[in-house]
Amino acid sequence: MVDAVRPEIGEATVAVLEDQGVKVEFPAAQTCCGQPAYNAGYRSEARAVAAHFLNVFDATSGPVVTPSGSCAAMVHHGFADLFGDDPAQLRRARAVAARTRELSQFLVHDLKVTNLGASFNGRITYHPSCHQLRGLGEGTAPLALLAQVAGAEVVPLAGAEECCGFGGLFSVKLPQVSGEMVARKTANIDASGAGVCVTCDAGCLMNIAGRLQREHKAARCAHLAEVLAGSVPA
Amino acid sequence: MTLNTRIELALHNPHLQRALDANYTRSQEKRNISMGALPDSALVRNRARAIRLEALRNLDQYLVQLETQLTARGGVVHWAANAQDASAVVARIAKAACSRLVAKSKSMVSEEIHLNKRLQADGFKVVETDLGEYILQLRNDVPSHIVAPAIHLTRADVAETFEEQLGLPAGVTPAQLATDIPLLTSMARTALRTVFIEAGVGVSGVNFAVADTGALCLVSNEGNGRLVTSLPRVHIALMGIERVVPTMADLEVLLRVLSRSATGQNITCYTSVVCGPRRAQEPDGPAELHLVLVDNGRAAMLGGELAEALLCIRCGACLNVCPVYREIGGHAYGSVYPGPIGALVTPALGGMREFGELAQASSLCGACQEVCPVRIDIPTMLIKTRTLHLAATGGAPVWNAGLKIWSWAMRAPWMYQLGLRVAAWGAALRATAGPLRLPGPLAGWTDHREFPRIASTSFRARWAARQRGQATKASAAAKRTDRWEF
Amino acid sequence: MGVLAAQVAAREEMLARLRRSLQAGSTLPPFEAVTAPPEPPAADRQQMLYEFETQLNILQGRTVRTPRAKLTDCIDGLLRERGVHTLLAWDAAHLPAAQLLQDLQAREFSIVAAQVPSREPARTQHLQSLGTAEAGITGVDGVIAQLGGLVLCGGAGRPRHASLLAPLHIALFTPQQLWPTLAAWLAAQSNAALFADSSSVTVIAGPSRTSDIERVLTLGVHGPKELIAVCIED
Repeated sequence: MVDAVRPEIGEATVAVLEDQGVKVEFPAAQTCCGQPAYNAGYRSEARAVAAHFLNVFDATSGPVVTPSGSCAAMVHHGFADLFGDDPAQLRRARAVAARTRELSQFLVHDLKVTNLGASFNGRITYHPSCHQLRGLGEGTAPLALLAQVAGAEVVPLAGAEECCGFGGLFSVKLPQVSGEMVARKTANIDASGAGVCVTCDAGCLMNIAGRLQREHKAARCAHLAEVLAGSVPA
Repeated sequence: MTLNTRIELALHNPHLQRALDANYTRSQEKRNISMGALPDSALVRNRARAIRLEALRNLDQYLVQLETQLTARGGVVHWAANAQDASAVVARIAKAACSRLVAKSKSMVSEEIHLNKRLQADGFKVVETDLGEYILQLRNDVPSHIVAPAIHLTRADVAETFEEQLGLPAGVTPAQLATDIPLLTSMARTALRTVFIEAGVGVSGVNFAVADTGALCLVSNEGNGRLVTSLPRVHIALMGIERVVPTMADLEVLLRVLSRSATGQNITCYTSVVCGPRRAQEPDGPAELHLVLVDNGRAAMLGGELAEALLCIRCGACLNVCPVYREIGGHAYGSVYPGPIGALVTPALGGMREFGELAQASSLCGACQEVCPVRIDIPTMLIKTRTLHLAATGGAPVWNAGLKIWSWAMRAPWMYQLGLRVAAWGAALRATAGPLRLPGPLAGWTDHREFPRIASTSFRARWAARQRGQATKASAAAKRTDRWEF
Repeated sequence: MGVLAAQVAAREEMLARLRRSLQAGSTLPPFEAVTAPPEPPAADRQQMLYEFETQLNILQGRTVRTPRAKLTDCIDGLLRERGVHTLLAWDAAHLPAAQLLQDLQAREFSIVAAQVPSREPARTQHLQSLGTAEAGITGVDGVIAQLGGLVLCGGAGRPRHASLLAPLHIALFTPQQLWPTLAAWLAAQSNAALFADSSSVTVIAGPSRTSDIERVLTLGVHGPKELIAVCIED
């Protein structure tokens, strides 16, 4: 999704990492972690795509960093389920998962930095993606990073932990329900007074941003990496 | 009626929407305070889960022990393999009790086996005594929530029904009745008190059966559970076979989390633990106690992929936090068991082909698992249910084909990149054609929100360019063409 | 097939099905070792009494403390306030104040006989006469501080109806009957003793309540509308 729709998120991620002195490699053969198929119950399709993911990242060494909380959660939990009956694959999956981090996790827990020298003028509010919050158990790292952004006023979001209604194919299979859920989210964003809603997941971002656009609301949705890299679209 | 139709009805019912909203906020507040006040609640939940797992792992032995103990105390244990058998057993016992009137307290299993229908066909008058269920029965309606069954009704609805069925109290106008909840409640109290006294048979559910004593535990706030199990001469307790705990000490652990999770109360007003009929020297209590053990698909479920869902203690916490249940309510699920747990249990017991679709009613957000007192991994099991449903129905051709193609493309980087370029090119072509509407099964997206434009240069293209030292040019060009600001 | 034979067959079939499911390597999660939650620290009687009162109030129950010498006056007052004439009661032998019922009868209160006949029409008639009582007086078998709960066991001279049928339930207890938790009370009982002479153990934590109509709290829907726990202080 980042690749096709918001490449700027990828660029911002690279910029943030390189700024911290990290050498970044982008294995060109990578495609997807298989989450859409897995969540939809298409197990063999998911397994095939996940196997490709393992092939690509098995051949790398060092941390695997993704700007997507749900992808990281998929690698950590979904892979264990998909390869549960294949000991060899399971071993590889566990090994890759052990090195996989979502971006804010990597910055705060591995590099141990929260102040990246970023700045942003305006009010920001944060929407935690469900898979990041509950799947990865990561609720604090993004807020710790945002707190150090000079000039940014981070305001609370009512119902922050409520799902935005993306849920992968759920958004098109039960669109009326998804629509109600994202409408609640944008109403809360409105009420927070923030000009930008920040999230760590491209799926949530597309969903929330798409609704903000449809409602002609002034607020925008940006990725954490863009705030940290100072590249939030104007 | 299809799932989608039921959902539409729910979304366009303003009173239901208000009730669901209020329930969502209040029930979570209360549950959080109550569970927060429980010392070492995380450890208690782990222990609750362990107790339930132990019970299920040796369920055959615990059921036999339960039967032995309860029989030794004068109870009679019946084994019913399916819904029809279970109803037949109850009908037979009720017939032998020579009473036409049956008083019932809350039992989801009784709804699952369509007991009332069978008893009414056999000439019995069955009266639901749980206030919410009583109201629904008078209206020929069904429950929409495990713990608050009449949540979708207004006081005016109730007043209308009571006026019709019970008559207006002396000196009260319909308008007055429509707003007086205490009066409505006291009308129900009076009407039902007669039922409790005159009924020769009381039918109840069972929250937990304790194997080491043969005791049956029922929790209630209204007191109808106590009345139904104490006044009528014959007490019939209906129980799904999975509702066993090994010991009395285990029971106490589960009681620690049940009502806190369900209503935010540290304990329900009444916790009745009954063990057999009244003893010779006791002044009151039922002369007969029958326990009907209902399988109806549970034993098979235990051997299947959704076995973990049998841990459920029916607290309803998952319904209360589910963002989807919040929008659609219980009736939309079209099942005795709604909400996240219902989406697992209903297809597992009632048929994957017919009910597996319920697992679609979830964004897999995980809020349910977070509050489940026995930590059932509901999201993972919902995914499993989706896979099982696909296997049972073959799936929808358009999704099958779509995901197949998608998975091929995702395994062959060249195909994936080609697809990206085609999409970007297509997006550029129709750039002037106005707002984007996604086709076919994806239309639901654009029905409710905008879809972003495919970037003219993908991230990997920019990366590759940067590697080739052409970073500045590519990025700058991309910034100029991407007009959709997301 | 006769009813009995059918029953035996059903039992065998169900048990066989269960065993098959369990042997086939059920997907139940594997054994998880759990740490038992620690026992709460010991509390003194005054603390427990205070906690009991606080918890009981939450579900709209009330506590009244009275010195033993003033007990009859206290109960008399509570009853007259509510226009009570007829009582249900446990046998005097099971109350912590053996003289109380006699004293109340001397003051013109009448007590309905507890014994409910098994056969009709005597049974229904007796239940109807029990229904005329305006209050029920019982003792308790334990007072649970953490829950604001009263434990009432059944047995000879201890009708369930005394705590169930009348609009007012008065439960008499002494501070010696206080326990910190239900677990503590249970641990002190033996399974055999619990149910040898009694077919029921009930924990009562407040008057009858419901919010089934529009989530509005109403008391006294089927059980008592009022619960008063009277602490007899020696």
